[in-house]
Amino acid sequence: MALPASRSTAAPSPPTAAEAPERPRLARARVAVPAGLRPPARRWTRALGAYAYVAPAGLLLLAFQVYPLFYGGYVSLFRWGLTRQAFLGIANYAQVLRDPEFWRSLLVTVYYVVGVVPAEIVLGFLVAVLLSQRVRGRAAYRLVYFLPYVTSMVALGLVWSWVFNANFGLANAVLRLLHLPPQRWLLEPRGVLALLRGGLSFWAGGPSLALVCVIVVTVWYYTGFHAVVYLAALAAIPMEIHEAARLDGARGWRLMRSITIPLVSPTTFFLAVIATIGAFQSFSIVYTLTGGGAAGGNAAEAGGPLGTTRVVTLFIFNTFYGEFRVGYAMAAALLLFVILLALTLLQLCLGSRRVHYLGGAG
Amino acid sequence: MPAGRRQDALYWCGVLLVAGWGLVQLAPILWMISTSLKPLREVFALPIQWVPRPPQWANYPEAWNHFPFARYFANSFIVSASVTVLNVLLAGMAGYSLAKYRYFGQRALFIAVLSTLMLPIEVLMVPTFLIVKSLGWLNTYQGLVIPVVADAFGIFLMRQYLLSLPDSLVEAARIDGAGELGTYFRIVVPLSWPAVLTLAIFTWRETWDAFVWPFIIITDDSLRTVPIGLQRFQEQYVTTYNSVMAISTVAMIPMVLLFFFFQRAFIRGIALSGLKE
Repeated sequence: MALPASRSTAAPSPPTAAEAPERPRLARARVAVPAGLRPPARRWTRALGAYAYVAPAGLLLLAFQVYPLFYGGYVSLFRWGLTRQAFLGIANYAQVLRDPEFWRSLLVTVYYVVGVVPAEIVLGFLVAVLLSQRVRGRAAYRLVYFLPYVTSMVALGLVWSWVFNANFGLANAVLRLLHLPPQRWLLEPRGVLALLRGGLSFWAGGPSLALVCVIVVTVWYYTGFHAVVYLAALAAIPMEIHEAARLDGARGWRLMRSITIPLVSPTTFFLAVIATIGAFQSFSIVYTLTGGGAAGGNAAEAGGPLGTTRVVTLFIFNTFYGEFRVGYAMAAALLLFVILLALTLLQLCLGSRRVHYLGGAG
Repeated sequence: MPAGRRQDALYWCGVLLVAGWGLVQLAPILWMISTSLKPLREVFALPIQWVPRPPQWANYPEAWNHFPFARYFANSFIVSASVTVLNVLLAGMAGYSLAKYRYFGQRALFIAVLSTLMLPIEVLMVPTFLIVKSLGWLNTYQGLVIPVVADAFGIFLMRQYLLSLPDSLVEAARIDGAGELGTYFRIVVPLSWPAVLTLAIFTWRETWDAFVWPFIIITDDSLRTVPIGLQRFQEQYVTTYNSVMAISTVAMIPMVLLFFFFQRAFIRGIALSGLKE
């Protein structure tokens, strides 16, 4: 995860020594004393300082990120309800791998990720390209695009659940205007392909209409974020490169395909990685749209009509929080983690071959 | 990309697209505000009346008093402020240690910190809940705050920023006898405001909107935060859309104000790293 950000060029420039607070006392003492010449006591306090500064954050990370991972591994080996019960070994894992619900939630997650990530990236890029032209009122547009990202996701989930309300919603009002049959949107468990062609099973019907609605809302929410990252990347492309390409006769689409897209490819790659990781972790947006009260179910049954929006996070949440099968939920979580890790490594491998860096070998 | 020369059809197409998509982005939010000012019988009227006349301001106090929202907002402020202050403080110190010292195991430590970014919420949710439960922190502020205050993203951000600060400044302060604490708080902190501001805004946004963790560990109504309160309010008053939208509007105000005033720092932060989500 370090790679993308360290590549970023738009770092806020730190003040140089010249801009530092007026402290003539400091300015005089410029000579650095080599470490060996310092009195030993000084060196000890320095070493102590170094560890003392990193200790609080380090210990907290250890306690609430690293230790839980191993503790979770331990928990996954037991039948674990409210407390620890029988030791099961890898039986939890075996059971998860045989659980059709788990596989189904994985399929739902794959639909979700595949629906969300490319759309966010393409839309974000388009918006950024359009905004990087000198459109009048650019700042206002940027604010508007960015607004969903800074408003509360739960609040927006509530708004969208009205838009897709089967009886009074905005979406059906639009369909009525176009003389099309109204839909049940977030309550519709049938796959979109099944709706278009009629009568297909769950596996062949594609993602349910409810899931597609959730995808649309997610894309809507994150487009502004992607656009802002792309705007920074576009601003970092030197003018001369575009000028040179134009002199060579490149225009419009050609310019875009041969110059702009390759030059922002590190950003695209970075966004693809974080969007994938983020999409795999989506919870609140799916929950507010199709869990809880929105779909008329209860908290333990979150996951939309017939579970067709039950992404793997919701599956784990349900087994853990709704059914209190803690060891089982943990086994599923770790299996997901392995999948996610493999996927990220794959992305890193593929990405590093395709990405073009300015000034480096492509 | 100079636009001056291309006053042609393509340019206007672009403008139309920008404006059109902007409308798509804005419409649900406008609808939310508009609905929050309507009497209930007009909420579902079609075609949609975007400007309610007369605006029914009474929806706001009514919704506000229906549920302990004052309490939820107070909780959200307490939690967000504590997490933000602590995270910036801890990340700043850790970043300083990783950037401006040389010691044994430093690089390994940095890589270990970074790799915690890979841990998804699904994996941490269950064991952290069990740990917090065994500490007796369910339904407490510390349960909401402590597990999330140390954050690899913040440490990374501060380290990268401090790396670009000249070593000579730190060295000079030390020679002047400022001491380890003095050097950090009197020299380094005042010079790292841009990074501190960016990190603070990010942390605030993240914490204010946090859903899963507060949802899991808080069952006591007096400790609920705004997103959880909102979700519960909507579950119980699913039919009174105007009140739900009034509260939703109020809930987004702190974030929007924050964004408004710190737009530059916010966008720079995203462009800088965009590491979150």
